[in-house]
Amino acid sequence: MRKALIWLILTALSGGGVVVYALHQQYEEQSAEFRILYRDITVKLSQNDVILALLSNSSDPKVVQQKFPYILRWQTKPHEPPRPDINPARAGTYWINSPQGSLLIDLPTLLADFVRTQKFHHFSLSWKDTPLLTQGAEGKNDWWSWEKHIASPSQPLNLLVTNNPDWRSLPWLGLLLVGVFWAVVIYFYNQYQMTKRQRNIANLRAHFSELARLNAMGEIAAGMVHELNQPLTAILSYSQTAQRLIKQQQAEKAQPLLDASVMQTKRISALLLAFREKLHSDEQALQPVNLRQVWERVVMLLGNEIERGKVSVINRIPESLPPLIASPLGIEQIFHNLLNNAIQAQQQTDKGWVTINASQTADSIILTVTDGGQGLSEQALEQVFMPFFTTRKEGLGLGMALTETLVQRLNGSIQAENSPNGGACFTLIFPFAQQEA
Amino acid sequence: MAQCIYLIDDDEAIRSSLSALLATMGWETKAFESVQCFMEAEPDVQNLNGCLLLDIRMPGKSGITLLENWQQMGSTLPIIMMTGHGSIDLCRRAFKNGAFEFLTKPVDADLLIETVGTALEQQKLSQQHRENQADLQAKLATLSTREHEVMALIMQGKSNKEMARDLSLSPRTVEAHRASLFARLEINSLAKLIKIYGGLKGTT
Repeated sequence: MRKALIWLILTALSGGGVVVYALHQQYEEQSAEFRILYRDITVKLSQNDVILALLSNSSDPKVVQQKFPYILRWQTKPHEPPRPDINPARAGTYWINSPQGSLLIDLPTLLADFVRTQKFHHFSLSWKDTPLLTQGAEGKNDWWSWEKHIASPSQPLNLLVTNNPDWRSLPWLGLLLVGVFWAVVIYFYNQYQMTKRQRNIANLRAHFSELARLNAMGEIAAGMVHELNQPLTAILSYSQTAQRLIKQQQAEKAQPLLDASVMQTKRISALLLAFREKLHSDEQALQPVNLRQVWERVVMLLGNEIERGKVSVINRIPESLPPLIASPLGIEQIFHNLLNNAIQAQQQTDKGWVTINASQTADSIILTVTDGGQGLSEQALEQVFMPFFTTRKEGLGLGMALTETLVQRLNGSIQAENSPNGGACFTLIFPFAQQEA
Repeated sequence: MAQCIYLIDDDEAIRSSLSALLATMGWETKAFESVQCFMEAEPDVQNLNGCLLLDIRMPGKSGITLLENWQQMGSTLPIIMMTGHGSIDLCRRAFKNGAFEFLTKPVDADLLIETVGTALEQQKLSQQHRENQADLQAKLATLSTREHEVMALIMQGKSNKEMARDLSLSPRTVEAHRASLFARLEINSLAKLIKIYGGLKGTT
């Protein structure tokens, strides 16, 4: 609804602009036409003065009449009393008086050529408010009017034309295009906003899940600390008591305490085992996994990071690679960690890249993930899969450890090394026969 | 009554190991697996002698709740709190409620023994003090109503004549009461009366 309103306003504003411009153009054109008309009429009328000056008694009335059909009568002597300017006897005629004589001019005939070709809605020539010649409609309510006195001392006629805009010649197609244009603009803007919002939501969600994960980890750690603290306290007390007893020469009493201490140590070990079991209980069902598709999905998931880090991701997994029997989530997590690490490793690099290669041997699939970063230090190469080893400040150091665990759960193996050109290279080997294991 | 260490912890191993440790010092330990068990076994908390080792996090009534009710229950037994994850907040709360000490698990044996020793020492002193007080209270209880009145007036610093006027008695009678109460309280001077019985309850 709001978008429709915005579209309407934008279209109305820009359309209005177009219409005003077009009307202005029309007005300018017609003003020019008016000026031409005015000039032509002025020229025509000034001819009359010349004719009057040239006419003499010797002129042959017939020739004159033939040459100038609009001169109805003429006389070479000044008339006494002077003739009225406007001839009341016949509409549209008037006298031109001068010392040489007078001419009775028939205006409609004189201006027949212009008047017939002019295109104004209303056209009138008047003298002292008496219309001599009018054409077209009344024209009182017309939009535009032009008025000017003819600069002729003998014939001070007033020229008035009015006209309406020609609505049909407005750029209607242009207006339609403007409407379409804004609709398209709004549509694309809307799409852009929507993608942006979706991306924001995705970012928020990722952030939130990260937070939830950390909280859960904190909770788990607190639980573990409590669970382990109890037997630890007991062990400490037992051992220290035993120490004291031995010091007090009562070594025989220390034996049961040490036994109890051993019991508690076993309790800790059992606790840890149970804890691990609990965490690993969510076994994923194995199914054929298309590695290429999973990789592409991971690339999509990490789209934001890839864009931000300006990393180009090259997928060289051949289409013909057979599916791997594995847990899709596990594979996704492995890829996610590897790609994420590669992106993180290249934050300082301008043109980062990550390539995944896959090849197939008789009994396994070999994947290599190579990046264009700095590579791993000697220490990192040794420790990269150890829990809590990290080179990043905000890192937890669990990503690669988890990756190794996941790979091993698929009976695979993972190796870290540096490629000859410096970047890190992770090689994963998944045997086909794992489903029997 | 001999001093005894009362230990409340839900973990069997901790109870047994700490008991063994404390036994090396020759202290008697009574261990309970929950606050409820302790309350059932020892309903008479005012008269316990020794100290209390208390775990904070336990199923049922937690240690910190017991600590918070401890003084209302009228016990002077010092409480040593033990916890696996001591936060500053918890620690502050414990001391605010009169905990004697706050230890984090695992507790070092020497530290525990030292703390328990100090607590027992302190409890012994306060116990003696209380016994003295109880003794004096018992003596006070033997006084008659009139003697109480006389004693109150003596403590206000009044002379025999003033007291006689206030109580509408003859000075001689007042003197007799005075001699009798000195005899019953087993003292022989006004200074001793004020010094020994001055701060005691019920003597105004």
